[in-house]
Amino acid sequence: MTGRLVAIAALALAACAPAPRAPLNALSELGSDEVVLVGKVELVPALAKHEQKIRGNVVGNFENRMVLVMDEKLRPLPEDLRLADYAGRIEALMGSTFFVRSKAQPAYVLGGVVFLDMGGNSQQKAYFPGGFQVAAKPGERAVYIGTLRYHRDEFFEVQRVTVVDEYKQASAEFEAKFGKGQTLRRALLTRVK
Amino acid sequence: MINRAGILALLVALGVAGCGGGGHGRDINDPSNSLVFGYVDMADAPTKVSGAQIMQVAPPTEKPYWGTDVKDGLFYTYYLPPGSYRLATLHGSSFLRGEYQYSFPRQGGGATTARIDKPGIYFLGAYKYKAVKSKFDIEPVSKPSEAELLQKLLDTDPEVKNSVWADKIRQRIARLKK
Repeated sequence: MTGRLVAIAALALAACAPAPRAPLNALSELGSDEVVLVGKVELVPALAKHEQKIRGNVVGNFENRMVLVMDEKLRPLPEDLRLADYAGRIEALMGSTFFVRSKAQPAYVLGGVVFLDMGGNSQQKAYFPGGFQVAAKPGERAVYIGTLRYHRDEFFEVQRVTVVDEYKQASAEFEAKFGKGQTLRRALLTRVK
Repeated sequence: MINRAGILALLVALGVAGCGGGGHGRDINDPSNSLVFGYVDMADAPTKVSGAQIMQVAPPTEKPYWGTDVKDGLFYTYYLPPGSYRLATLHGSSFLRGEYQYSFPRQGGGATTARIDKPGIYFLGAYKYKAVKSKFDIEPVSKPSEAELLQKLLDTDPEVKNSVWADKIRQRIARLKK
């Protein structure tokens, strides 16, 4: 019976979890108190074929994605994440720039989660360290937070974490998506001691 | 070090647990084989261990699980080609409690992992089962020793005794006893 409950819990995350930070398609969609966060997540090496197994009726897309768990207050990433912890998460397609709407105020990346095995008898996840501040400010419209790059081994042990400035490339993508004349402020993620 | 607390699941479906030594069609005397073994004392667990699976994590493969033979907590396989492996699951059943699967986290693993660069004998360690709320953990124990486990393997598995592994195991035991 417990095995079945494990499988159901995996599905429930996708079906019942609070909403993630929504992707943004036009700056005009932003509310007056909102900002678009521009950034990227990378695994080095990237996920190889067969390293991730998503099976069955899983609602949502977890393939090659890292869920960045966010909060307005800095706290440790819980060992056993509750559904509420996923509120306001960023579902980042790894290796691709994301554009998500967020409150125009400081926030924190508590950590990252990659679902490695879903839909079978057990759910397997890999956790990635956080503790980064997103320095968004009231009144601004677009903030570039950098590339969060996790170096890992084949056992998903994290060996190094860096925040890489790829502003030029991100700015070009930002301009292509939202048009010229928009300001994308560079405010790379900073590690909070 | 990643926490090794695993997930305990009572299996509904039988058959998931069934796993003797699975060689993926390899010959026991294949010179590229490695012997990988370990031991878990399940005295405090809901069941004894009747099966164990080792997962090949590198190179990644569509069928990553290798079954093992199990004898009184000793689990082993002598078919593994070069690659990286981790102890993935233990299985067991009892008449009153049913079928159990003990799953270890995919991430990390420390001593219960092996990077096999060249063929040889790899010891994943000896452990004792420990209940942790609805999960479980395993703690390293000093007994039985690697040499004692190898001797047991040699004494109880006629297939090993009649293979190229017999001499390799004896040599390893001799080195360990120096």
